[in-house]
Amino acid sequence: MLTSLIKREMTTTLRTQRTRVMAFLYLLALACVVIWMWPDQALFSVAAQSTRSMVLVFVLTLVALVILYAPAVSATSIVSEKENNSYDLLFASRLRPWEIVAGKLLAALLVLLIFVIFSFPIFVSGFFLGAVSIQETIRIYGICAVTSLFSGLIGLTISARSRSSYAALLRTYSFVLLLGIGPWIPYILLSSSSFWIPVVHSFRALSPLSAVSSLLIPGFDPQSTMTEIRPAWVLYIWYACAGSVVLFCIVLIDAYRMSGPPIRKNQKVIDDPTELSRRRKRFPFYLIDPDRRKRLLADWMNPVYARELRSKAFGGGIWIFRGAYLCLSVSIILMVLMLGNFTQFTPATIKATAIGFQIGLVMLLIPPLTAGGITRERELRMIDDLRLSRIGAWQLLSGKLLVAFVFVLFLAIGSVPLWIVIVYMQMNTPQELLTVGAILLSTVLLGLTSGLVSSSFLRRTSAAAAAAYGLLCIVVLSTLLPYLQPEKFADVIRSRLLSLNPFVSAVQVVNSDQFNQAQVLWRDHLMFSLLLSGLFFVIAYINVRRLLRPEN
Amino acid sequence: MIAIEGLTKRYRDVLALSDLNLQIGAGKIFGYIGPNGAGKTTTIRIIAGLLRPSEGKALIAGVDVVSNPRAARDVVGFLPDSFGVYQGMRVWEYLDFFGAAYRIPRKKRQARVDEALSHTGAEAMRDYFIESLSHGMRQRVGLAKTLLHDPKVLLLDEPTNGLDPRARIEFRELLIRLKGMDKTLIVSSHILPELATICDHIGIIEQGKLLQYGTVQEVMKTVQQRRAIDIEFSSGADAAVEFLKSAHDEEKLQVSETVGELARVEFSGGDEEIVELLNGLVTNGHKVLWYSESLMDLEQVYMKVTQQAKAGSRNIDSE
Repeated sequence: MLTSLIKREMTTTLRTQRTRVMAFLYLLALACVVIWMWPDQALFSVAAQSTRSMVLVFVLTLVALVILYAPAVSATSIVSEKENNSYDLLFASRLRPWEIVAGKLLAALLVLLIFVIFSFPIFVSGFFLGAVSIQETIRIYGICAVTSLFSGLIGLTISARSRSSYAALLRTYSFVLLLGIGPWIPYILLSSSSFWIPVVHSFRALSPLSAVSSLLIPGFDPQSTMTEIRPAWVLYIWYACAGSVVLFCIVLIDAYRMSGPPIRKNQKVIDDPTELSRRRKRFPFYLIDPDRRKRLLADWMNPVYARELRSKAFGGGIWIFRGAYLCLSVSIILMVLMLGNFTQFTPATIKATAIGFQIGLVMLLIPPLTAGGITRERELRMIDDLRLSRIGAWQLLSGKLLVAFVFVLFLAIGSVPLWIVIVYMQMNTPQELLTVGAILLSTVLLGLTSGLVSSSFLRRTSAAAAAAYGLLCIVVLSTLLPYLQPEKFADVIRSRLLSLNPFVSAVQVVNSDQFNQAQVLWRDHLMFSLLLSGLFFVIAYINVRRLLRPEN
Repeated sequence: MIAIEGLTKRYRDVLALSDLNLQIGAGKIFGYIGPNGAGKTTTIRIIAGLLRPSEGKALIAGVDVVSNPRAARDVVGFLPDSFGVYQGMRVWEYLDFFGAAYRIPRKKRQARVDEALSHTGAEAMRDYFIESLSHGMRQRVGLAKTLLHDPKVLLLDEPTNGLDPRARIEFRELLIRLKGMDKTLIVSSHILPELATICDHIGIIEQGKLLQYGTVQEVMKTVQQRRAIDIEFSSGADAAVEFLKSAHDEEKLQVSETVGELARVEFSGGDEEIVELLNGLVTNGHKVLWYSESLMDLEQVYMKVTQQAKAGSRNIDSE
């Protein structure tokens, strides 16, 4: 029984063109890392710094790709059954709920593990340079396997509790990426105090990136005379295994609940559509009551924008308010930490943290806003209706982009407290702050247009979201390489690449003593960001224009 | 209103539509019949301007949909067999969006939305969230959306699929009402009895080829080469059957079966010849109790036509 489900899942996943493209891009990315980092002298030495760096960057890329690919594989596995009305069919079969969950999980894991195993031939090149020992290799692949399991289960749990693949993807990506980056923030903020070190170190170990760093960077794990500190990779494996067990139990309970009769709170069934409509107007929607919204769309208004706003934001998309809520909470926590002087913060740290938080937010939450822009129209089978109407490619794309900007505004409100601190402390001139604002805005635009361009190329929202994250990661993370490996780049190229990075450009503006070896970056950055965004938009426009024409 | 000439659509090696020619007058309902994959949806999508044909022309109200699909959008309304809806929108909001998408000015849009809801009998649903509607009501809202820009031609692809009998009857009445509003309708359906009652013309398509075209009666007559006649005698049916056999050769008349005093006869001939046949029976002392001619229904016609087509294609294959 179980094997039949795994077989079906594997067959439907692996035979798609999407999986082949993903495997190709994945291997290409890893191969590029190895080729680029390959030491010129090709010394056979364990101590050779360059060979060690190569392995570190390779493994970090490997783990980052696993984190990036896991949601695309697992986050839609249960919710897509719900969308296709085949979930009940599974429960109607002789499969038991645990078999369904195990089948889904194993299939998703097998796909991820196949990807991890694919990387092995590239990884073994490190052996020729004596960069890693067999023991380290086992640990590295152990971390990858555990990360696959944990990420896969996160996706699966969220998938079981979501109603649409779009929402499942958004939640899974946000959660997984938050887990990858979030645990570093307390460490950055509080590591100067020896009292907090054991706590923040243990918290940082939640991130798989810290596990890899702990394994490959000597001295990564802090020393403490007060308590024994375990290496981050050991802690991570414990956390991931414990988390996986908890998540498996949750998803299993969900599956058993779904297999039985529906559980109704208070045993009250509401089947009156008017009553149902009324109940939908819960907080915060009653503030902007749809019942009072009786006015027709104005002639000048972009109907796509208005419709997205009605159906997405105020017609049921409570997630955007939750996102704003989360931003506000994190922002206030950071603000309190800064103002409360819990640690010896320098103004530079405060500003760098604020910018890092903002850019991290953009990276986490912005791409999915537009990644479903065109794919959702396909998935909802609305493309024919749009083709028949007078809506053109420009109206469609600008409407989607505009509404995404409205959502970004909601998220921006959440990070206002941090900027209030910076303005209040009079640490920068208004012009500098406006420049940072412009950099952030251009990064938002880049995130949104990367989502749009992915959405115009691909057929499924999950694939488009993964591609949008990939594009943004390339711009935001890979341009940090000259900072991490300065000896690999000529001065001009290093400066050019750094100028493409929004974090570096923004930090240089507010902290003149940081990145001061490079030329002024923000002008080049703005130009690059805007040009790339424009290019993405034009490509998306051409694709959508083609899509709205009669099919061949 | 609709003139289709030599419409052909190829998907690589597959011929989805082959040299289709059709003429449908204004204010008529055309029933498009065929098995799954016969080419009905392909035809409808080409007429709607959603699909480019490999060859041929399709004129709708004088507009060539092949060379000018944008202009055709104003005169055509298309209801696909399954259509999506935007979640979290009320019915009026959904219609308002499509009204704006068709560039109907705001001043006129309210009236259009009201009219469309009223024509389709969905006024009561205007404030409901669209995803909460039943399939039948959703279908009505879909049709209301199709009517918003007041198209002259309506293309309805399997509109009654999945509807319960009552909803199907109501939908049929709705189509008749639309015909009364001088709309030209192309309706594809598997449920043939409902087409037989409302269509002015029907076309039977199989493997991309139009096998039959005409009014329902014309198509039936073409398909039914021999007339099926039931004659009941008060007594002596066997003797009467022997008389019929001796009086007509086999090509003219065949007795299919005799059940009690009832004889079932297949006869090829006109009304005058039937009069002669009955007269002959009576003058020869056979006691005719009653006589009736049974016409094939549309389902039988459909089965016969598609079976002939299949047999034809098998013969070609074997050759």
